Order: sequence, then C-alpha cells, then structure tokens
Amino acid sequence: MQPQHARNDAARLRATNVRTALVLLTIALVFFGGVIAARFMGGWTTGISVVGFAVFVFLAFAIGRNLRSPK
Amino acid sequence: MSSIPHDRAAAGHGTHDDHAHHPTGLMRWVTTTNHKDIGTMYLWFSFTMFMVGGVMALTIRAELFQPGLQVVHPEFFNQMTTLHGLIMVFGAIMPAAVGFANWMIPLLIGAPDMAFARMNNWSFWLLPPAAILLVTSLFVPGGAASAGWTLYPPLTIQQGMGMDLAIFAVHIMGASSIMGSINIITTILNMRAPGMTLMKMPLFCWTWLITAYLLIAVMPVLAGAVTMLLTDRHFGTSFFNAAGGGDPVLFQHIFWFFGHPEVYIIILPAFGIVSQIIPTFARKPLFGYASMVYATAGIAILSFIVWAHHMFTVGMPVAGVLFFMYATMLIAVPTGVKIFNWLATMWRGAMTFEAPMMFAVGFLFLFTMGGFTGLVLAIAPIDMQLHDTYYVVAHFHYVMVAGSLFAFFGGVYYWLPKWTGTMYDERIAQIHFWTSLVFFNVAFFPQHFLGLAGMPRRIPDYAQQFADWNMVSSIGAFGFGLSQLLVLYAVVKCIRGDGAKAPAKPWEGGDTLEWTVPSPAPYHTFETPPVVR
Ligand SMILES: [Cu+2]
Repeated sequence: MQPQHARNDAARLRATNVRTALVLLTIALVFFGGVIAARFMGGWTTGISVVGFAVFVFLAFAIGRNLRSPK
Repeated sequence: MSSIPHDRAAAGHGTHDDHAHHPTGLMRWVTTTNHKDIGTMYLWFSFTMFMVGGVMALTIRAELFQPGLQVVHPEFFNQMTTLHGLIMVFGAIMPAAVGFANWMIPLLIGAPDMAFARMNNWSFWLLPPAAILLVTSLFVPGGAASAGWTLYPPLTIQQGMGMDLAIFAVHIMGASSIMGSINIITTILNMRAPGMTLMKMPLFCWTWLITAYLLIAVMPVLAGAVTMLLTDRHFGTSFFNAAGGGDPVLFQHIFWFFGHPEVYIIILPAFGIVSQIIPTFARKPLFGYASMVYATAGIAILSFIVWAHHMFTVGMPVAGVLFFMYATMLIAVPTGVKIFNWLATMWRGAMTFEAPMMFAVGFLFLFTMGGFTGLVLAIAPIDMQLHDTYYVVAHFHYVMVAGSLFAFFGGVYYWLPKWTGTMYDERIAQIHFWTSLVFFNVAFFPQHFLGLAGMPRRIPDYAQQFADWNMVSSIGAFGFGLSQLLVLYAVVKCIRGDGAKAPAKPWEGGDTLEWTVPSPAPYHTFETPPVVR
C-alpha cells in the first residue's frame, strides 16, 4: 500500500493537471469559436470582442477562485 | 541511476501492479499509455509518412525531370503537390516532433510519464485514420484535393469529395495536435522533478513548451477555417464564396494566421534538439541559456504579426505591406541570437563530430541559408517578383528539410543509444549525413536559380530554358530519397541489437537527466523523482 500522503500528493497532482488542461482547452475552443463567430457575424470587431470577453471571464474566474480560498 | 534515492520504491509497488503485466504483441501498442511506447509509435508513424510523402515528391520530380508532360496527368500532379505538402507537414514533421517530446520530455525533466497518459494514447491513434483518409482520397471520384496544401478557395469550394476527406483529415490531425499540446504543457508545468526550475530545464523542453502554446493558439484557427470551407461546400454558407457575397481573400488571412506560426511550430522543436546536441559535443554548457529562452519566446510572439507576408501580391494598403515587411525582418533578430549562441557554444569547445553533431552543424549552415532567403522574400518589392516561383520552394525546403529534418536526424542518432541500448553504426550514419547533405543541395540549390529566372511552382510543365537545372534538381531529389534508406537501416540495426552495447551515458559531454538512467531506458523511469540541485 501507498502511504496516505503519497496518495494525497497523487490526487492533488491529478487535480492540478486537470485544471491546467481545462484552461488550455478553453483557449483552444475560444479561438475555434472566435474565428468562426467573427466571420459569421461579420467584421474583426466580433473576433476581438470574443477573445476580449474570454480573457475577461477567465480573469474573473481566476481572481474569484482566490477570493474564496485565500492562501 | 545509482545516485537517485529509492526510498519510496517499495512503498510505490502496490499501486503499480498493473504495470507489471501489460499486454504484449499488437495489443501492447494499441492500449499502451507509456510515454516511451507512444513516442516510438509517433516516430515510426512519422517515418512511414515521410516515405509516403517522399514518394509523392519523387513523382513530382520525375515529371519535372524534363519539360513537357511525361509521367503523370496535370490533375494528378496537382494532387501530388497538395498531398505531399499536407502529409509532410501534418504527417511527418509534426508527429516526429511530438514523438521526440513524448520520449524525451519526461526523461529530461525527471517525470515518470506524461500528465495524461490515456489521452496521449488517443492523440496518437487519431493520426493513422487521418493519414488513411488523406491517402485513400487519391482513389475517390475526382481524386484527392489538388488546390495546394494552403487549401485556398474558390478552388477548394469547387473540388470533389477528395477535398472533404482532406478537410476531415486536417480536423482530426488538429485535434490530435491540440491534445498533444495540452499534455506537453501540463507535463512541463506540473510534473518537473524537485529542484528542476523552469530556468534549469533543458532547452528542448523550453522550445516545446512554447511550441505547444503556439499550437493551442493556431490549430483551432485552422480548424475554424476549414470548418467554414466545409459549410461553404455543403451547407449553403458563403464565408469565402464570392458568389454568395463571401470573401476568398479572408481565407488567406485566416490560413496564414495559422500558417506562419506553423513554420515555428515545425522549427522550434528542431532548435531545441540542436540546443541539446551542440553543448554535448562541444563539451561546454550552452552559451546564453536565458537569451535562448527569451529569443524562442520572441520568435513565437513575432510569428503572430507577420502572416500577410505570404499575401503581398494579393494587394493591401502600403502601410500594411510596410508593417508586415518590417515585422518579418524583425524575426531575424531573435533567430540571429540563437545562431550566435550556438556558434559561441562551439567556440573553443572540445568538439568531436559524431553523427548527431554533424547533423547539428549541417543544420546550422543550411537553416541559416533558408533564413536568409526568407529575409530576401520578406522584402515586398522582391517578393512581388518571386511570389509563387521556385525560389519560394527552395526557401522553405531549406527551412523544413535542412532545418527541421536534419535536426530530427541528429536527434535520432543522439538518443538512439538511449532508446535501444545499442550504439548506432557511426559509418552508416556518417554516410547518411554526407549523402543527405550533398543530394539535398543538388536538389534544392538550383531551385533558387529556377525561381529567380521565373519558373512558377505547382506546374507540371515548363519552358525549355529551365530544363537543365530541373534535371539536376530531380537527380538530387532521387539521391536524397534513396539516402534515407540508410537511416532506416541504422535504426533497424540498433533495434536488433546489432552493434556495441550502449552505456548509460554514451556521450561524454551529456549532462541532462536522460543519461542518468540505464540504456535502453527502462519501461518506467523516475517513478521516484530525481533531485536536481
Ligand atoms: Cu510566413
């Protein structure tokens, strides 16, 4: 058997990895959706808005998380 | 390995019993989640695609051996140029880089495996179906896609179902690359051994980290572009269809927003490999490590603001032309920093010239040439003359073949002892290097002359005046193609154990973590993380 702390470490690493992956996946999806949306609704302003909005939401999430659980 | 403590090895045994009896034979490869197995599969897949794309290149060169039409129909010739480009970029070079990443990144940062081992398996196994789609598209009615690898509309909106298969293949390969990139970034950010700070990482990890970010930013853009092509073709939209009010030029903007960073996606991992090889064989630490990291990041950032240098002849405002011209020239600065650092690493080093070093030095010469012709092409008024000529073909083959491919060959010889436990045959490797170097230049150097004289690319026939250099180029191409059987022979020889047994550290100057584990690298490494001081 693995000692408890090792299992906790593994679980924490797993959670960190999943979090990193989700952030990266979001970036990819925003670029994919953004380029199509920009063209579909016309104009580069839409594209910039999509990316800007995504950055804003991302920042809000990142800051919000830290507000809830201060280290 | 003896320096690495094993105090947790016994404790870890109970959870790893699934590793002890993994399947054998074919099922081992289908189900494997081991980064070394997956790296091996990527590299073999890449080599197979290199052969397939190579046969297509030789078909092109056979047709161009003489003026007039001899070997293939013009339609088929266009399918060959298109598929050769798609297969070499997405099937050969990119998977080779991912193969190196899979094998080496965990070993270089002291991690037991990639962060997402099962996703890793999936990202590999997406590739063979995509390759099958591309190759079998040759046999559907109307043949394969034939509008060039850049897939410009309106041609791509008009072609037959071969184009749909190509679009689908690009989607699948894009998904595979994005998953691979997520895996690589997560591994590098979260799984480094204690003490392995980012600024202590071997440079190969740095170049791949930055490459992976580039991939995540631009592969979705390409996927979006080809998705819009697909809906234009089948679902009545008019994104790029001028007849319905769409804008075909916009596709070019989107494509090259992907396409230019793609060039760096292809070359940065090669930079990383060269940055591992040169210090080892110069027996000196890499000169200017931090500046190498910043130069790599600088190249990546600049790569996003230069795309329209591919479109000078399309027409754009003078301010746009000037911006893209100067931005492109600016890339020579961080690239120059790298070249300088490699030279400075070799300066007064105790150098030896085994095959990996030969390929690295060959890379330095030839990649720099490709870089210089890139600078020439960046000058807008010159580009107006040279656009769509063989000068461009010569330029990017110096970057892709003598750049990336040579670095990858260097990497293969450098790490073969670690992968197989057997030293490669130095004589064969040296012959492989010299024949590759000579035939590469015989094939591609004359294409500069042809381009300057005005020979257009992607055309199966040409004027009499181009005949001599085309003949020379074709001879070089066939020589280059045949030379590649040597690397296959050298690798197979190693795998069969035919050669000297490789010690854990076959290269005197190697000081990265992979040389601390035995050769061949055991199936599982660094389950107890090494401590980096
Ligand atoms: Cu470019």
